[in-house]
Amino acid sequence: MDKIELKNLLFLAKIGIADKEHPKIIEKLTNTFDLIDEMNELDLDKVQPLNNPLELNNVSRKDSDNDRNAKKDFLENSPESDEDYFIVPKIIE
Amino acid sequence: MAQNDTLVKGWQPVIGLEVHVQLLTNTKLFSPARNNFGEDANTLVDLIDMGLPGVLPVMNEEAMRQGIKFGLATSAKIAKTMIFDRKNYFYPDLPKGYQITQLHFPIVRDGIVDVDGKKIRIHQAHLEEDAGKSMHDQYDSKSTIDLNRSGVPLLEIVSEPDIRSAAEAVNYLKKIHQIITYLDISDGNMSQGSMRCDANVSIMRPDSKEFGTRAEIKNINSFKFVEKAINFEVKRQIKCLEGGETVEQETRLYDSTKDETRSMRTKEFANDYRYFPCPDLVPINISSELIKDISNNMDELPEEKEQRFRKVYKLDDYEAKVICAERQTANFFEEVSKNCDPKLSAKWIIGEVNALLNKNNISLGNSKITPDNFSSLMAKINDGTISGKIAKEVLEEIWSTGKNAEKIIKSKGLEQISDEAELESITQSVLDNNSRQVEAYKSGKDKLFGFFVGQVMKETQGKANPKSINEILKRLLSG
Repeated sequence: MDKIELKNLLFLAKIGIADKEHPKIIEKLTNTFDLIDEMNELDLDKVQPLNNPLELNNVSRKDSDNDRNAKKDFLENSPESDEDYFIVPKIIE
Repeated sequence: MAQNDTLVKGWQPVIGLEVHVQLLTNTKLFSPARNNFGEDANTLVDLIDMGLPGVLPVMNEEAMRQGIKFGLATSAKIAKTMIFDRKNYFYPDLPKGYQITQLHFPIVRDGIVDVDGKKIRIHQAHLEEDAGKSMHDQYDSKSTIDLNRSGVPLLEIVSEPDIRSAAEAVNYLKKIHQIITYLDISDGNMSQGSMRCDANVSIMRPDSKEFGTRAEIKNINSFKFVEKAINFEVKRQIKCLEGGETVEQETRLYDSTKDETRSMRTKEFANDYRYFPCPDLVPINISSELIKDISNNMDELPEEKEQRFRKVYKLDDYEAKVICAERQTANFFEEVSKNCDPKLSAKWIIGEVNALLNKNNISLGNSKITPDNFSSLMAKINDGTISGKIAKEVLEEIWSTGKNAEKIIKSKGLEQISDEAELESITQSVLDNNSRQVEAYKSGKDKLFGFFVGQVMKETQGKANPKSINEILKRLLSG
């Protein structure tokens, strides 16, 4: 992991970390990646991927609604809103 | 080898479509908020759609059933186990920061759609949630967000790159539209966004073994625009390659007002969605019992309906195809045929009714023509009360007022005159007033017969029974 890769990662995760912290983060992440590399050396061709650690299948619900409308609460608790909409910084020019 | 008429200036277009279909469930894919179009902003939102911390999505069984229906209708493989993944990206209309979709284990794989005799393969169809809606016109420097659509279940249907022309792409899309509306899993309303389409377009030389680099055109929202967008894009790529440039792999936007596709400026970093299995949702196993149950309760597909209509109502191939093109029309026809001669109704639906619908650009369901008032019209044609010509007039009146044919005929005095004595006296006066033509007819100008018929029709404002006129005229003229 180098500085450029870390910058990309921070961009994707929308996280800001001060430049002086970068070396420490790079070191920690490198250790993690080394561990993953070690695991990658195992022959896992015949092993089914584990998609969920819970031994649970088929959790689903019927198609019926809760008939709830919390519009007012949602809008009031958002950083910015008007009577009907959430308001965010302009996302197109 | 058959002549390849899909080539454009010596280049072969290669097209694959991704069609997003909003499913007709009561509630959203993972939350119990209602799924409906056109309601007040942000009223159909649950904690789960808001992406609040600690909430847990639970899959809607009905969305799964609808996905399975589509798989069965396209002879596809239904997954034994399907798994939901997270697709991560930040955008304000996606509060969670990720979309739940299916990447490696989609509900449906390897389907086939028959488009005018050509098999177009479906790579996969997967369940995923829709995003909210952003709008940019309310404030100068801000955007607004409506989350009613957030979490609405979508079936994304991904074709193989088997399509070779813009026209074929439109026909494929129409076929998908027909299937989903017949299955009643979507209303397929493109103008409301219930059905949206992305097109992957590339070109190559016809003898090439490899496809060219493709561009993806996003969010095309009508059949007409699909054709235009692809045609524009093919021409653009030809110009690129013949001018010595290369085609970039990129996402482009179709601008219908300028009829062109434009590059959506690629960001500094390429998209990196970091898919991984969604830990909130456990794998779903689909049993063969469930598939059997759905299959046994499935609505009739277009081909099956056509076949039945040919057999039961004695429609010919063309009539069956046109009547069954839309489920709405087929249901209408079947309702009307309970009381009327099916061949007569088919003829009128295909001809006059479709003409009115096309002219006014609305669907049968949104018009004032109902099985009831249409049946009354058919009955009046059948029993000879009105002629075909008058019937057209009555149909137009039904179209604009929705009234019953009987009422219209009575109030406008349009009944056919079948009274022999009355018709005979009218006919006689026509002959008296045209003695020169009668003379000519008798001396061998047979063609004048039509002239006399026309004159009688004129006298009666089209209300004379044509069969009776023929008989009366023949009798009087031979005298």
